[in-house]
Amino acid sequence: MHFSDDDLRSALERKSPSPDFTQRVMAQIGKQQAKAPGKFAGLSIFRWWRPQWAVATALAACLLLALSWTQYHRYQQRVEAQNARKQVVLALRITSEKVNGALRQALFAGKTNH
Amino acid sequence: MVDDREGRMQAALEKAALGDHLSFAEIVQQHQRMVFSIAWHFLRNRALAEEVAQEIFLQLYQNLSSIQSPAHLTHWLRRVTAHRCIDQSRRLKPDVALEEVPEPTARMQMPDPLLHQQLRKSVAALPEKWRMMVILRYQEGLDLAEISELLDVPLNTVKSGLQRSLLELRRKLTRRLGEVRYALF
Repeated sequence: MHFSDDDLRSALERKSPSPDFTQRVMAQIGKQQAKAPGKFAGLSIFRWWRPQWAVATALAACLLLALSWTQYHRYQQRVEAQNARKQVVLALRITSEKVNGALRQALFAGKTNH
Repeated sequence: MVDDREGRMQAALEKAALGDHLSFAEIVQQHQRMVFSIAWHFLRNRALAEEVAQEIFLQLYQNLSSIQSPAHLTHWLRRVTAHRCIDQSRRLKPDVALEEVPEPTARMQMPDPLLHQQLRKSVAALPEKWRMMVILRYQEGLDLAEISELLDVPLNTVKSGLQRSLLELRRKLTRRLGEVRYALF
């Protein structure tokens, strides 16, 4: 049996679905949205989301991080300075006590020689 | 004219992605014949074909943001329809005899209705992949490379599949029309 490509094209030509097909699809979409409002509400929020906002948020976060790090660094330096000062005062006190002890011994030795 | 339609479809796509239902309805109207026809010629069951087409448009609605252009939309719809139909056909149990399924009511008059009816029935009896190749080739007018890309099969498989499908169709038609003529005369 012979048939041409055109026969096959005609046999397989496009057909129309029922006239209310589009309405049924739209009704189904409406039903799905009503069933899962959370999901679609989430989607509608993301529809407002823009990449520029993400960049701005990232920049703000970086700035905040840098400021926090600087503040922490200054606080650390202050604590270290206070500790160093305390150590210097302690060292001076010890030195002063040693010098006083040495002077007392020297004075005592001078008195006993005379 | 084509550019105008493309421009309108591009605008509809952008609006539909922002949640405009009217624009999405326009997209459905523009593409429903293509999607439904692929499904109908493949499944040979009007109700099932409409159900599959409906599911495909729902899937499209959920993936609208990934569609970049009208051409991309057509490609996406053809691809999803082809794979959905093949999956559906594999899931189906053969409880409906393909030969007894009635033709859609809104059918156009054709030069040789008997030949075309027998051709549709013979196409519907082809193995799944071959059937889809024939539908994409002769209904949608796609070239072999496009079919190969849509169905994720090598180009040579498409070539040999189409050749073997046509041989099989000729063989079946010879047998069926011979039987019809024998019954008539």
